[in-house]
Amino acid sequence: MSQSIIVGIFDEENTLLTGIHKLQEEGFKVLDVISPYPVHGVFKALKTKSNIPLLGFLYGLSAFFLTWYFLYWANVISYPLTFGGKPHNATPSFIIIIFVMVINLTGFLSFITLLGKTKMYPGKKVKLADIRGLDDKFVVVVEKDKEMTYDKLDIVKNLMTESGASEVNEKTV
Amino acid sequence: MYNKAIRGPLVLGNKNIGQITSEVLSPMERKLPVWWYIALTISLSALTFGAWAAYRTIAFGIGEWGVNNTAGWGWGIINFVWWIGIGHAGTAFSIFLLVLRQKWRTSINRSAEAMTVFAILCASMYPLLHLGRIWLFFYILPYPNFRGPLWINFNSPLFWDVVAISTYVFASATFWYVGMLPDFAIIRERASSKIKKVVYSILSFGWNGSAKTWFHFENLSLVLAGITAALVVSVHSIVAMDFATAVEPGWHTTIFPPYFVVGAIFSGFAMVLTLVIIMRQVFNLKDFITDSHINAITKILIFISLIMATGYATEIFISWYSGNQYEMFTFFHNRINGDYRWAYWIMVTCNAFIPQLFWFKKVRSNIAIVFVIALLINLGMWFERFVIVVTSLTKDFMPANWHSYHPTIVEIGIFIGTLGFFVTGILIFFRFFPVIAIHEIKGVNNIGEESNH
Repeated sequence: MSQSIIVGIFDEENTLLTGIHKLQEEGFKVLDVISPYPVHGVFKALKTKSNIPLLGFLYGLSAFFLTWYFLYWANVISYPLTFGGKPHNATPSFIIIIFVMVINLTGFLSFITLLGKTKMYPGKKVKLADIRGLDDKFVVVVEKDKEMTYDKLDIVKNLMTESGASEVNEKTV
Repeated sequence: MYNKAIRGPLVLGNKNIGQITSEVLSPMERKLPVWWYIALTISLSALTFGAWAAYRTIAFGIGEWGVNNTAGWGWGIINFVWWIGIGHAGTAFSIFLLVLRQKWRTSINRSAEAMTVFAILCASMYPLLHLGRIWLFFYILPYPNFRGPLWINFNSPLFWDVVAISTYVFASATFWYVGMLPDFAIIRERASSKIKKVVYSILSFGWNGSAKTWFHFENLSLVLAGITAALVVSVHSIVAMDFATAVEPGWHTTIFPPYFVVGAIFSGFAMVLTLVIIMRQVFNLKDFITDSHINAITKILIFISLIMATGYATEIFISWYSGNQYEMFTFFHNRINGDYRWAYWIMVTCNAFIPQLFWFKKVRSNIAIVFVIALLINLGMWFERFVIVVTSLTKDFMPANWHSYHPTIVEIGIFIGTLGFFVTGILIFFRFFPVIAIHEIKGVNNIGEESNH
């Protein structure tokens, strides 16, 4: 599905943030910002959310109980082997495996979650609004809906240029 | 908060962010230098020698090694622990320094993580080869089998080791790889040849640099950092428990886990130092890995060296204080003043005394001396494991059991082989991967300037 967008190219972090704030104050929707490194002001302005930390915690919690239960099951129910007269349910010596497995599963599943949430996979082809956004520019993408009048379009362009954009382009992606 | 006016810039030369990309990637885009081929030839020859030694071990059994009934562990475990120790630096760098908000780690963490991954792969060769029948290694994995199912002994530190090491390889490789995604994307966009473009577009997973992606990425990095920080402590503690749970004089002590963890970070930092000094020299990355980075690492090394010295002193004191004759024999007659005293004193000199030279600013700022000291620490840490393993095993409780230990050419060959593997890995990393975390460097390029507050 193709979408019309207005792309503003900024050279610096500070002008980028001013630009985003101005656009948002005027009621334009900033769809996305492409940057070469994470800019925290942008996250705040776009109100980005991520539940990876929460999911990570839940993965860890599940891994904790699953591993514990597995160790209990293997040592006590499935094959209760006695060595050195030690108890079958030797919780203290389970701790280390539980601890490590929590880390293992949390790490793996959180990574998979990242791929799922960002829809990334090996070899995915991407169409970027402007590839310089990966290297040395900050790219602001504003939605251009069909009803947008030329006046409004000019306002967007002016806002971008005023706040320091070095280039403003219209594109369809 | 990092203050540039006081501590100096993290990246020298007033670069803009476009320059950072091209300077960091220039080693990948230039023609391969001759030294790279020479180094690769040497490391591949070492690897071939190692392959021969591994073949001898697998085809003819552990009898090819110098180990015997008394000294059942030799170079195998020594090198295993040495490599695992070196492998701790990557995580220590990326994670401890991330948690401590040390921004200077950004230019070093990538290569430290690469080193971690290769070092652990080297380490994992030793237990596998020492199995004798390597083709049955899967017996150690807890899978539902037709032998009962008879489960493995989940209470054994040797099994904990298997779990810990494989988790460690996995977690650090994930952390390393995730960090490289944005950098692979830049390489993808800059690639001139078609093959390169295809390869890096596979590697970059379609990274798009959008704010949403970055936000998820940052959150994942924090989650991974949070959990792998615990691994740094746990992995080497578990390795220490392989020894400490054995009732062997010199091993059966509670100091072992912390002592091993500190030793691991010590040797890891020394190896990182060795590596980054070479890297900044040959790739001309002195603006990124500045003298102040080297300075910071050497200061950490002094601190850890003092902890190591305390560890050595504590061990000796406790063996005397315990009044246990076997412990006293091991420390006073076997290590300090026995057949292997040369190994003991190399260890103490290299780990406790020589790093104290870093107190002097003149020493810290002379890169050649720093390089030599870093190598000596690596050597000292190898001897630490040698002392622990060989002195305790060769002379244990009953003199009738005593037996000397000498490595054979096969054992030495395996060690040389893993060195070859490590160097080959690092050379490939130097050539085909972004050696410095480009996006992290860009993020700290102007840090501490007035305009950012």
